[in-house]
Amino acid sequence: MNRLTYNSRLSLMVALLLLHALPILHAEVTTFSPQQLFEQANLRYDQGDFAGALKLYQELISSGHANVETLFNAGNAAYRKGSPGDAVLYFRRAWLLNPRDPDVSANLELVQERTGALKPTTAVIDMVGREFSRREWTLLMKSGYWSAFLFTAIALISPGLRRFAKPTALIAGVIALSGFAGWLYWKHWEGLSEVVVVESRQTVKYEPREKATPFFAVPEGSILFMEDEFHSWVKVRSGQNAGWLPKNAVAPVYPWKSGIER
Amino acid sequence: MSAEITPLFARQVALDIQPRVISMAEAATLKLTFINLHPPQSPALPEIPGFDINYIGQESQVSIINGQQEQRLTYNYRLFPKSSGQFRIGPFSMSVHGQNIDLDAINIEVLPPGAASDDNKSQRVDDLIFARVQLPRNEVFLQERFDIEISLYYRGVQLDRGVQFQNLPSTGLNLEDLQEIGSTREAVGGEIYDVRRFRMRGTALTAGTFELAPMLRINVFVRRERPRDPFFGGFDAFFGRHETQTMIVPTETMNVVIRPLPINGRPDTFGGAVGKFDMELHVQPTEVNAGDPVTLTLRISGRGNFETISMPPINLGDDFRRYDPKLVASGRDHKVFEQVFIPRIDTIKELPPVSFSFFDPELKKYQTIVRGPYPLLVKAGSSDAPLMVQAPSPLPQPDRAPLGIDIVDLKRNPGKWRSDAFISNDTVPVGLHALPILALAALLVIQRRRDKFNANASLRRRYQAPKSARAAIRAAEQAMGNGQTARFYESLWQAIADYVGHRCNLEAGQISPELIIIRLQSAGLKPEFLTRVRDLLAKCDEVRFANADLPGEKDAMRSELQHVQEILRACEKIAIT
Repeated sequence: MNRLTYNSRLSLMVALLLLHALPILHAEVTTFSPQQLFEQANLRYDQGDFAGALKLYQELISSGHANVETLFNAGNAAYRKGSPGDAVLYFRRAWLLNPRDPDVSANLELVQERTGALKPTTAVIDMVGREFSRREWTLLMKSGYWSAFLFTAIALISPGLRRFAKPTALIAGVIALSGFAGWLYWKHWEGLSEVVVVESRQTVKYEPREKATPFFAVPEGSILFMEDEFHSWVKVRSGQNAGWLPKNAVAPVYPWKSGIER
Repeated sequence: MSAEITPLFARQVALDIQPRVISMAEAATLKLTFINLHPPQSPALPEIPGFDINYIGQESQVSIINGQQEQRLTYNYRLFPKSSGQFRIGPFSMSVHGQNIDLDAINIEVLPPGAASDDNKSQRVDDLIFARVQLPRNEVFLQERFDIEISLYYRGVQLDRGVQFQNLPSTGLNLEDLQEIGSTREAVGGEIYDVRRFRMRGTALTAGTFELAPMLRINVFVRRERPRDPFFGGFDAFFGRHETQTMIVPTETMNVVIRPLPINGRPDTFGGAVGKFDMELHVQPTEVNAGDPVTLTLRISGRGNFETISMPPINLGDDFRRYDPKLVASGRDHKVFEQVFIPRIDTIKELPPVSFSFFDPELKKYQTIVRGPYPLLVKAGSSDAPLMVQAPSPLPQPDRAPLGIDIVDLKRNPGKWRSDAFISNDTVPVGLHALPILALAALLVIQRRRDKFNANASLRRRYQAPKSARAAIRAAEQAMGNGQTARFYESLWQAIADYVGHRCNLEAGQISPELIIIRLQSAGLKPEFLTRVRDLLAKCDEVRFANADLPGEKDAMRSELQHVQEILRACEKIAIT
């Protein structure tokens, strides 16, 4: 009888404990919507908790919700937190999604100016190619492509509409070709593997080793092109100069392209 | 000599003589320039041994630079040599309102009459035009910036202003900032040459030995060699007697040895700076309360590879809170950084020293400049400040700088949430994009076929023949199922008549059993099928013209239907016309 009573009490205690723990367990598995996370991150930013805000923005980004607004706000939080390199990285990613966003361009410019960062040179083709994001060029290409076929089909099927459909198909074809050129530009640009210097006081070295001769200094937030990898080093280029930096000092603008995730 | 003028600034008189190498038959010009001075009369030059002096006039120039006006008054004198040799003109001293001004001496070389020959015909072009390259040293160090001077010598010819450089090294050395730095005269081998000097700034990028042999592409004015036109030759005096001829002027090949920076003796604070530098440091303010910012301004000046230079690290420990250094100014010969420190405690007495290391390629060793320590008076924080009571704000206000000098604030409206927001994912499968091409190809085929049929009625009817026969057979099957004998045979007749009519492109009124037999016979239909057709058509006529539903056996009807199908299949294999 006593034994049974003891077991019963034990079971009761475990049940009570589980009952108490249930809300906690429930709270842990509660998932916020992207909108809620975004608003929480903004609130933390407003309260001056920039590290906390950045963490929430990063959570949003890593869960696949890397839109311009999240990346832009992450850049702001990183800058306020005192990480201009990370700020440039997020602003650059936001800029990739919408190159015409004046806020993104302004913040990117300002942070780079403040750190004295090295910037990639811009040719005329870059100015044209970056007028639209890759997504926009792709959209232009696809819509032009499908429209060109649609209107060609109309011209073939319906001789009565041919007069209208033929020039429209031609215009759509030109749009498709323009979109294709823009898409090709971004495809080529992606292959250049852009990285941002996210650590302060970095010096590019001639060889991938700690004791190698320093080549040139790269302020935090500098945008370079990655050319090669060797163990824990990456070969980077800025204009005519190329040398080696520790891998952890840079972060790729395209996070999925390399093992050096950030 | 003296002039009654009011001196404004020191060094306001300049003396220059050009050219400095002349022949006996030539004259040099001496220019005495007064800057921001107005002498009331032309200064008289003293006797200069070996030269006759002629005053040829004055010129004045007023310019405004950075808002400051500068007036230049230049007196020009022509110096005619009386004998050949080396002459030293000056030094001179002049007194202006009691202030003594010294003018440095200038050396002039006058070549003897026979030395500078005008007879260029017997000379090679190489003697008339050549180029030389000069380097500060044949050995330079990695990352060293050095000037390459290229001199173009020419005499007895006229050159176009444009000069292009070719054959510049593409690896190892980075060459930039090519500029013409002036022209002069030089005596080479007893001949006077006009010399144009160019300078390039080079940076050694890779250790090793590199050949430097630039070539100069120049345009030489040459007299046009053509027979004089007896009628219009007179115009040559005005037009087109000269033309330009492009020449490539090579230089001697120079080997540039680029040495790596030595490992030994490299200070820990070395960050890659190569050249000759100086460092200035300013700390402002030097008296602060704990928690107040102190700005350290550091200026590095000199010559060298400034792009490698960053703010030298300062070992401040935990007593200071520090902000990232900012590059506030940079130029070809300087960089200025600012870094803000906040002393945390009031026991700090000084700001630690700042060290900057660089490699001096002339001394071939590392140098370290140390500035500081700087005394710093840190007072206790504002603990004695009067307490203020105020209502708490609902939210702590974020640390924001005023608009215009700060980053743009957060974006509050995130727009549409997408899980594939980044750019490399294509939502439409690639294969789907081939669909319009396939659809268009199919459309084209259909369109072409339609056009073909529209143009050729017999072809169209040929394709309609089996269709119409199948429709009639279906009607016959239906009639057979309903036991409608007359309709059944009517449909069989229709099947054969329509089929043959379409195949032979005949109108419906033209079709008769006889015609069908003739056409099928001439098409080569097998006799057994011909017999069946004949029997079948006779049966059809019989039933059709009896105009009544005769009692029929279903098996016989099915057999007739089968025969028709076999006949039609056989007809599909032959050409009926």
